[in-house]
Amino acid sequence: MTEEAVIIGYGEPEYQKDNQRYPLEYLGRAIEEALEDCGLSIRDIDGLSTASFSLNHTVATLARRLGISGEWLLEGSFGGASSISALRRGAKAIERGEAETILVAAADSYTPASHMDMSSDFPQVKRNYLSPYGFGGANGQFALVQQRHMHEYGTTREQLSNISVTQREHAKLNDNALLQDDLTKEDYLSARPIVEPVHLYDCVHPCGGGGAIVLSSRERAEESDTMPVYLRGAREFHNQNPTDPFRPRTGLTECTSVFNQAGVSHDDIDAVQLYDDYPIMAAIQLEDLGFCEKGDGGRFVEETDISIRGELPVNTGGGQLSVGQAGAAGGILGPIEAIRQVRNEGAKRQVSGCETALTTGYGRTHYGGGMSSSVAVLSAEGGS
Amino acid sequence: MSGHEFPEPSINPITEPFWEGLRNHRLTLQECTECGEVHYPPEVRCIHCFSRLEWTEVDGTGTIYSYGIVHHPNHPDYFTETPFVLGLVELKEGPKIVTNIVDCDVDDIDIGREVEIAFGDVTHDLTVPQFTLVE
Repeated sequence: MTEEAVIIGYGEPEYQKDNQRYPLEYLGRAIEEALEDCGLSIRDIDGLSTASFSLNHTVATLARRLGISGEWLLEGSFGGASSISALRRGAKAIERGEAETILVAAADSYTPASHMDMSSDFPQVKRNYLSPYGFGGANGQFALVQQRHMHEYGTTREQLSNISVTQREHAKLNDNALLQDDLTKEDYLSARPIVEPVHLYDCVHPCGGGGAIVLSSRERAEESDTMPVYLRGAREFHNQNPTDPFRPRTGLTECTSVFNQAGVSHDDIDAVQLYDDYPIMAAIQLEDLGFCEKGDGGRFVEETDISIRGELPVNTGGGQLSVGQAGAAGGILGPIEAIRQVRNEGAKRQVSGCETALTTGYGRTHYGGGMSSSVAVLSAEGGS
Repeated sequence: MSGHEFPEPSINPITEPFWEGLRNHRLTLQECTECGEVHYPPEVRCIHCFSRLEWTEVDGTGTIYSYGIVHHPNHPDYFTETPFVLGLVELKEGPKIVTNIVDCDVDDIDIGREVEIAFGDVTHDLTVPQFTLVE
């Protein structure tokens, strides 16, 4: 990006189980924290993007509820890919002068049961062509994807265990992670089956939470007291497998130009925050972005130290697998952890010397896997 | 999740011929009038060339492309006998259909196994496509 937009603030209120708060309250708290972080008021905001499944609102009605007026509003309609997509499009809007300071926010509140209800009927294609077979919600959809990946590439549950187990170690260093109990490889392998080959520790815990990010111009960032984080590159792609919707591949295969755009190589990435709705999808995203050969995601996560002290730290806050998945806010968890790491605010889980982080979004499942993929590279240094 | 009844699909004018065919124990899918590609689920136009589609009866045979063993179904009050097999069958004509593989030993399920259609009569008015292993 030539005239990069800059991230100047973020907010991430407490994640909670069991529908303790209405989703609009998580949204309000996230925005409040993000504004406090950068020292702005809601009157400084002239653009908004929101993503939520459970809020009975559009971005326009939310703008009214929040007191935001302006030219640029964007409905986050790509599920877990929405927030990174909104950062990408928001940066372009700032470049074009359509807005000066944009809020990108997401919030939802679910329990495991209410999330299953939602995902059985929405979108309607699931009600018509998946629910009649008792498919088991997203667990069934991604069981089909994982089984196929295991068959084509020899991927094993032993390999994938490293993702869930390492992320749980990271979660223990994150007070906002809901799942902090010890998790060993043996626990992972002996867990009860949900939709085989997906077992308990392959699944996220649906919960309540949200997040918000403030994106602004370089000029505005210079007036802010917080450390600027530069959006060096961002890409998105939709409907990557039109005729083979359960193919174990994401749209990130079409997004690898993000490295050139950001002016970095894979070796420059100090931490990766992946959209980990399932370990298999985290592994597939590493393949699709070129961190390893296609099909080698399982071997890669087995042979690579993906801990915060390792060669390629992955999901340094525990990811959705250990923090919890607050619906569409699952897609802002990674970007916020990337910002936190680049700002050196990871505290006990800080990756030493983390200057550049990559983060992904993925989602909007239909008849198959996710329809939408997005990726961003964030850095403490601006491009030339 | 709630309710003991079968999660009935919502049928509209575009999809009615599919369900009507199943009621008569025929698997009918849409074929593109230009490129000949066969579609599932039903679409409004060909997803390859946006041409019109017409209904055609297909063979009802194929192979298992992927599968899962369901221990936690949605609508568990209806799907009470677990585990069961969620299959993704690649039909001979090309499209892939999510279904149940029924009347089988779970241990016999594998990717690449040949299957054929078994019509599951859920109610008097509703039949869904299921599949069985071919010996």
